[in-house]
Amino acid sequence: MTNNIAAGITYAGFIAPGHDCGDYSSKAFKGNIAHSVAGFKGGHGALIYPDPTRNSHRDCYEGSYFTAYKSYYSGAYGFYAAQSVIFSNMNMIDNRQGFGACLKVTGDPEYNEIRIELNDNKIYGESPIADCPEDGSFCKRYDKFGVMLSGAAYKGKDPHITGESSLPVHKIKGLASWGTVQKMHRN
Amino acid sequence: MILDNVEMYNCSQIDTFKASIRFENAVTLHSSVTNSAFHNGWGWGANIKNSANIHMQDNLWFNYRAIGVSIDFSNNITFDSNVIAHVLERETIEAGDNFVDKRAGLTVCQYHAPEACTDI
Repeated sequence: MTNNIAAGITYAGFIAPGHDCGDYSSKAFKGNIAHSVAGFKGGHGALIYPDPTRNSHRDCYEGSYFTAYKSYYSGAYGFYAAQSVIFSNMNMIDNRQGFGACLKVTGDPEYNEIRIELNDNKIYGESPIADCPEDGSFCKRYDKFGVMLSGAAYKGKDPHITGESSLPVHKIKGLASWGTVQKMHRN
Repeated sequence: MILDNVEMYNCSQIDTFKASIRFENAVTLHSSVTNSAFHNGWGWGANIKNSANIHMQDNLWFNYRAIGVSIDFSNNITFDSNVIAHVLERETIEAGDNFVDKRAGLTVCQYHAPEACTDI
């Protein structure tokens, strides 16, 4: 799944699996671009989930080399079951709620380290592409931010959500875990 | 099947999985779809299900409903340098208050639940 573009999409540009942590040769999801994603309680450039066919993803999975701009919610996001998640080498531009990841904790990991890392990403604020047309014919101005702080909870989300009460994706519906550590390097 | 430089429009059936282009149980020979345009359909743009050995490159899907391209229960699928645009909400759903449709530009091995796919 490489070098594709999803534009003007409802809910999510891509719902795609991540790759093994540190394996940047993987072509599972690489070089893709999403922009102008919105829709009813949706608007994520990519929802990146741990590949259920890879046992290692229960411990750690990674999403990398992805670009998103003008997403209503996050450029990239995840709220799925794993011990660690890394989002790296992404370009996040002018998304309303930045990007980030949460984790669903499994088993009894309350005091084990649950790790969320955002590494080597480039985060841009306003882009040269205006939100509002020059003639002012319609305009939606929003408060925006670059990074959504993360956490882990005992309930995660399905990639395809069919219950309105579970939306938006980043809405936390379960108890939090004490063991969560978020690290951000070289962004 | 080899499809190259082809335009398809006004295809796909509304409110079904019958997409503009479908691969179902296509597991024997290699297939490729390249340099083609699929646009202005009524439902899904592409549906690859229970299939294998498919190469899709440099195609466009424009103006579909709820799902642009879906890949499920499949193996050895290459999806490279394609554009998926203008995938909108369905307007035909009448459901309970709490129901929300499944929607996405490209959805990989998740539409029908967590699924076993390899080499996508």
